[in-house]
Amino acid sequence: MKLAVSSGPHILTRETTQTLMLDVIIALIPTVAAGIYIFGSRAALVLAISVFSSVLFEFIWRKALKKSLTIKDLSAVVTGLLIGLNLPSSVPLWMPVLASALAIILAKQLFGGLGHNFMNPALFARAVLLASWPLHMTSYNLPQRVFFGSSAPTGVDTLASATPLINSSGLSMQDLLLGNIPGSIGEVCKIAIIIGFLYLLFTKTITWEVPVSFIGTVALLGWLLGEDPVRYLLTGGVLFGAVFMATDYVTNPVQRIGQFIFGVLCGVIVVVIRKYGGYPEGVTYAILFMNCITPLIDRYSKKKIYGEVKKNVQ
Amino acid sequence: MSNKTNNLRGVFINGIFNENPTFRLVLGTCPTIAVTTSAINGIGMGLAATFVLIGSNMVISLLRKFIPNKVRIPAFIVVICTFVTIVQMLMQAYLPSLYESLGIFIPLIVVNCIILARAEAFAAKNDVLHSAVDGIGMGLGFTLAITLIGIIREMLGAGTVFGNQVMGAGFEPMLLLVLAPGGFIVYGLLLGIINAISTRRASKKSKEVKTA
Amino acid sequence: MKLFTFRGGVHPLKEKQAGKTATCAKPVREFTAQVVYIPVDMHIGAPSAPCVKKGDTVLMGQKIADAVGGIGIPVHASVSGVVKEVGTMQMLRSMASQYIAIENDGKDEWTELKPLGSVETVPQELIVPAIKEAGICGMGGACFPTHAKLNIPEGKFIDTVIVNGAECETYLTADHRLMLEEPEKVVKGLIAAMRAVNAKRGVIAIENNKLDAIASMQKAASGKANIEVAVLKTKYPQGGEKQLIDAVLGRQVPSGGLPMDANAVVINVGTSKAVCEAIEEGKPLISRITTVTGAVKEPDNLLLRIGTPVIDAVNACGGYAETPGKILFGGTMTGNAIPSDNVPVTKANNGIVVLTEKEAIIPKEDPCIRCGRCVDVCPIYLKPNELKVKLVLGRLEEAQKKHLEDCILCGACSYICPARRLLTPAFKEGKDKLAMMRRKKA
Repeated sequence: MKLAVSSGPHILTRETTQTLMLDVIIALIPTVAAGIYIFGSRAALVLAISVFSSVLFEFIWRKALKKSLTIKDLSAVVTGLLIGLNLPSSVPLWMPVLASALAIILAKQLFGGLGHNFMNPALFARAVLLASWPLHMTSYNLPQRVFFGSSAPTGVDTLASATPLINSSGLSMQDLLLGNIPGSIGEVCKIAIIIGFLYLLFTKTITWEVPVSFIGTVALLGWLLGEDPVRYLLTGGVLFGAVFMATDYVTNPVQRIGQFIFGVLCGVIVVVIRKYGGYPEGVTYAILFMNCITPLIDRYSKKKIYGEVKKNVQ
Repeated sequence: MSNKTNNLRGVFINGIFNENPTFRLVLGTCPTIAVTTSAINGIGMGLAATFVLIGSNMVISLLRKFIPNKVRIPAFIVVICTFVTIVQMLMQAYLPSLYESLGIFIPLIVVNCIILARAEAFAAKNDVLHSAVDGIGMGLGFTLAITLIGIIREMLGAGTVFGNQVMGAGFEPMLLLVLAPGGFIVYGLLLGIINAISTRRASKKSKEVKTA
Repeated sequence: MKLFTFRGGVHPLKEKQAGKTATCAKPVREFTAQVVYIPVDMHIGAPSAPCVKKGDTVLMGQKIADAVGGIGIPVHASVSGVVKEVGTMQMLRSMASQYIAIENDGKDEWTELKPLGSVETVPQELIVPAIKEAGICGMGGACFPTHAKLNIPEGKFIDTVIVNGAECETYLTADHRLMLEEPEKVVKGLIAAMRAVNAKRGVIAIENNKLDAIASMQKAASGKANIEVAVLKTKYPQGGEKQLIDAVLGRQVPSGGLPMDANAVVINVGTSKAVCEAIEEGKPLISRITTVTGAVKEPDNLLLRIGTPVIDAVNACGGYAETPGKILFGGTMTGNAIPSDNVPVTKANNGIVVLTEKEAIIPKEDPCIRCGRCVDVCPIYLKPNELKVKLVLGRLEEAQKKHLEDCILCGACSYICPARRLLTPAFKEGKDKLAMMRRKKA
């Protein structure tokens, strides 16, 4: 009989990297479904291509460098989904492929793979696309619900439109909540995002700090600057960014207090860009910028350890 | 004699490959990233810097015995400034469009660290001939490197090379590459590729040595 | 009811409760082995020196090894019979341990016992020497000699003695059963300890997953004005000495200090019972309650003589249910894996947990995804992810500056890590290295 000898603990929680990623994918399902329902089969195609190519690039890269295959941890699937959800459904189909290559190879694998990237890969890809092909990235399909078999997505339905951030007065609150507005595939349906957020919180996949402080700061500053805070949140990508993009473990601080600071600063930058910057929306750049200073936040958010007290005197 | 020519050839090759200022020494990164938005800018910048480099290397080499050690850096800068001013005036007179597009980066050649580094590390210690060859080698290495970056950025970022359309009509240029981040990304990737190749070569060599 | 607790910690609840339900309702059953192998280095401190030789006849409770050094304790025969051999065996330590094997004659003949009388009246100065002579050490797992713990140096004072009945470990129910079956002895042991250190207050701390034990102890402590029962939240590592002091008294043990620096002493319920028996009956520590559970056919709580081989205890519980992959002394969070099932039960051994081959597989380490769970659960509020990186890079001194030595090796961070990082093992190695460096310097 051979007994294993190892030091404790000898039981481990059932949660693994893979199950965490799976939870994120499950939380994204309502958003994905809503995006496909709103923007039609074209959205499904964009999502499928970005997921498939993300996994493919991860596979090719790991294989080419003779490293352990990491497809099974599902992180590439999550990245692919997020890339797709961050694109308008009207983009040419080579864009999700290129975005996947940028995210997986440039932002993730070149820095050492999962856990070592300093920026959210999906957001990095989105930022590159936004700077390179601003026209494609900011002309949104109107909600059209066109599926295979019905009329092709051309004509009146696909009139490009500016983001509702610029002028949301014509849109009802119901349209904003249900996502009956132009925008990226994932960002429009706020109800679906909130369902995903509650799922992530309920399964303790994420902590509340980043999303709540992020969204709260945007609402508060928006209100102070004379906006209707609810409409301010429901237009644009703040909800999606705060729930799914800013909560990426790898690129936000480890400690709760750091995560709170991270969220607040993200919110401040978003409002500054929206109000005073050249772009109508700044969620992407806000999160990317905060990703870069995450190590600093981690370093300076100190923690008092147990027993760092003066000797007890009575 | 043959030894000396060999030596000269070594100095020349050294500047282009082994100690390429851009890819191996990582000097002069400011113009490398800032002006390489097109191939022609790269060549223009490279040749201008080469001219200054040759000139300053030769003059500094000639004066190397007279310049007191304590004030050598200001002295070098004065020499470099002279040549930069000459280049600037020549360019303004004969290549006004290039002069326009390079703009502030022409006078900034003064603080290009390649030039000062070669003055300090090479010209101040070697004779005129070697210093001149070093200037040519280093200048050509710099020119080749930034032209390469310029070609890549112009090709993908604007669809042209030296102003000629090279990409098909369906190509949609990747604007990012002609913006500042594109410079960092292309430079970084090229540095990475070159480092990967040279480490692989080095490890192969050491393996060969071991087996032999 | 006020629930006492600390910040941090994990809830291996499902595993914890599932493991405990198998044995928590089973009364303690006595089991005596044919041959006992009594190690002489069960406690922390210098190993005791054997004072019997092969062929000697010994009585139950007779001293068979003398204490060595200031904190050393003697070892006593746990059965009556003939000394079979004095040998060495690979046990829990890296070096082989010396043991004394005694062939049981089945008579259980006690040696002459010298009871000191009631714990309420025994002269105070006799308590600590009696505890030392009885060979008592911490029975919760650490095995630090109890007399040394109760020996308070000049200038320090103790106001509270806490009896640790938290039993926050998984699987184990030995302390639980003891509190149900012999609560009076636990209270008496506490009184003795309080008198030994001049403490005004005694607290019996129990997690709220053992409501019957709480009731039992409350009944036994009723009428004792200065003894109370504190109910703790069920959480791991609630029973850690530092966490317990923080939870019950709201004080923290200073970094690098001992519980006495927070004016408190913590003893295990088993230890408390042993103290009571040592004083009122004059009996040395020769047996203990051990939970035998996991992949055995009939998991049970056994009263085992010190030195009973694991295989005998397992067979007393119906034998292995499956091929064992790993056998632990203690629970699954902090238990030590033993190299073979011939290893004997020691004074600190509150449980024998048999894990199947499947449970014994050590998963592959994945890269850290910085999820922050380890930082959330650390009961010492360290940053385990950062410490691990420093240790992987071999920067031991930086890790030391980041309070590596304050780590209590509870295993909460390793347990919670979704990337299966080997955090606690790395910290154990780092702490051992630092301790070695310190010893070399001294």
